[in-house]
Amino acid sequence: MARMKFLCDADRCIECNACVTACKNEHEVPWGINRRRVVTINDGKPGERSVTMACMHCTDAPCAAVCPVNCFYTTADGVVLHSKDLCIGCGYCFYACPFGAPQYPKVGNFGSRGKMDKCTFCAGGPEADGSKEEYEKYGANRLAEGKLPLCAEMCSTKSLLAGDGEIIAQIYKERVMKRGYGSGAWGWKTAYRETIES
Amino acid sequence: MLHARKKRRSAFLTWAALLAVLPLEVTTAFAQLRGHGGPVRALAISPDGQTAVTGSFDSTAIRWSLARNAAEQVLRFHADAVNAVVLLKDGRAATAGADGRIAIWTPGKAEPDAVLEGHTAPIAALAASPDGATLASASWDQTVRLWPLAGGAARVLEGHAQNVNGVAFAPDGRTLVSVSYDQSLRIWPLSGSSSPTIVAMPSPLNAVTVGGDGEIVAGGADGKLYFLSGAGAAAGEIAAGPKPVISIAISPDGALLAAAGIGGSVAVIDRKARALARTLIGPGLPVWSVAFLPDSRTLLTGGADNIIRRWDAVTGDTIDPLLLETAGDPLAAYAGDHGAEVFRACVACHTLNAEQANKAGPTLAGIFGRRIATLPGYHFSEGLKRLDIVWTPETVSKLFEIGPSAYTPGTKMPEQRIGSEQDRAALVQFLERATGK
Repeated sequence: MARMKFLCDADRCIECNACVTACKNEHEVPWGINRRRVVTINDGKPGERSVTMACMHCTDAPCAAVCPVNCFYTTADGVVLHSKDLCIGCGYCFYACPFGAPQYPKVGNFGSRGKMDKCTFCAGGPEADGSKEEYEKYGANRLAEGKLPLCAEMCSTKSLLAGDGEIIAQIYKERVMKRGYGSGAWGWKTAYRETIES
Repeated sequence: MLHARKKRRSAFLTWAALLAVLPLEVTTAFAQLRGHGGPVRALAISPDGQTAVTGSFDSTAIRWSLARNAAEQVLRFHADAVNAVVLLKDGRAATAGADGRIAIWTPGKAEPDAVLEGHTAPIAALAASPDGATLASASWDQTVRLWPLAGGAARVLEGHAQNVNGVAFAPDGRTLVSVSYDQSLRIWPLSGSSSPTIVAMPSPLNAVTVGGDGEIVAGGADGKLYFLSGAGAAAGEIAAGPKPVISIAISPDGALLAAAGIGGSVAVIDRKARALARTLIGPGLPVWSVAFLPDSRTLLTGGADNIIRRWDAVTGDTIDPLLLETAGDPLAAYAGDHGAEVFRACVACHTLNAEQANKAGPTLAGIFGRRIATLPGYHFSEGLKRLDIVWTPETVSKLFEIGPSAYTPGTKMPEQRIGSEQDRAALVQFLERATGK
């Protein structure tokens, strides 16, 4: 079984936000929630870079360590998912996530009590694959259909890669070898506790 | 390959499975500062070291006598978790919560003197100005607010692009520092109209503190501590550990720095040498809050096991060795029981039998046949006391069919609905088995 990962090649991101739009559309993500966002570092200055950020489906996911109701689980292919039936919206996972991935919809006067929402790697949730219940809570389950996450599929510069971690790491290595530089696979070490050796 | 994917739960051993079950009432002995019914998210110690105030997920704050090792008062006001506490110069305490409100408390009074409202999302941190005149709050509504304690409108500081998690005043009271998950630290001048200094940081940030010499220390998701001058110039960094840092404290003499994180340990840093002096190892559960006593040696930590622990920060020893004990998984005896799995969403707030006391919510021991909001010893919302509901399998099932906010208006319970009739039936059957003992 492959270990699914995201890879963000910051040298290729053109801040087009197609990944953000694709995600919102594919999963009908509600107003006020962004499972993915593009962040520009050093905006307008030398060394400016844009990176696309979402849940990276970390190895030994820190969000799971702080959850008071044990709502997180990891699929056989390494995708970190959660059960919205169990989540109580406490917000503790936000403090633990290095990528600011957990989002909390406002269900009342304050934002604290909505169920947490985050990127699912287009892999749905605990409900039956492709079911109506799964779609309503978590969005589309493209992995169950043999497809990869739509954000990466839509990326016009292939800055964002998604798939078997070994394969996308190899692609990144070849890119760095060919172009002769690489500012790093953004977030890779933080999420997966390893570096990509060029 | 993808078609063959199977979802399975990994062996995440979360702290939820280890939650200690602890008493909430002040009448119980508290020799080991046990009393909260949920993670201890916030901690403040008075300048004389006689009093501590803690805030918890159980929606209460507790004022403790450190001289007597006893709880003196349970502060009940917030409708959600208490995320921040601070002791004011005049001896009062301020508490702030996920309900977006700040309450100001005089010792001994059952109700807050004042309630400060304005934030539209949970408040994550509080700080009191050195002159005691102003309270600062950091919120997930992406603002910082400055509240004049003598009264008057709050000043709103806008600019952060993500949740603001930490706030601290400079010792001269001229500037305020805030940190956010937007990977920035802002230094706000408190007089004049000049713009804040914005410092881009390498990591999303959870906590900030300022030393007596004006040095700023911030920590966050990458487990590192970043040192900055009062003007925002980088002045070093050190790794506190591999997991995110949640809370930071500087000892009153300025020599030590303590950084607590979700990994369950507390890093004690020699501040001058910028070196890790030692790591305090607890039971491995997240540590949410940390504070030094005036002796600059004794450290209090509040964690996910609901307990406030005391440590000797110089030797690294725990002062209450027995506190390293933890309880087991409260649902371990029900392994394989589907109803218990459905109930897992409830374990953060409810216990099942009479030996286990109330937590954020009342114990469910003997729930069937009991009228709503009548369990002795639990502080129920006023709205619930007016409802005409007796808990039966049918009413419990209805609660989760239409949701607590619709079925029990006025409840503080998080909105939980169980769509599957089978799951509701399994939960009710489990409660009948588990709560009647």
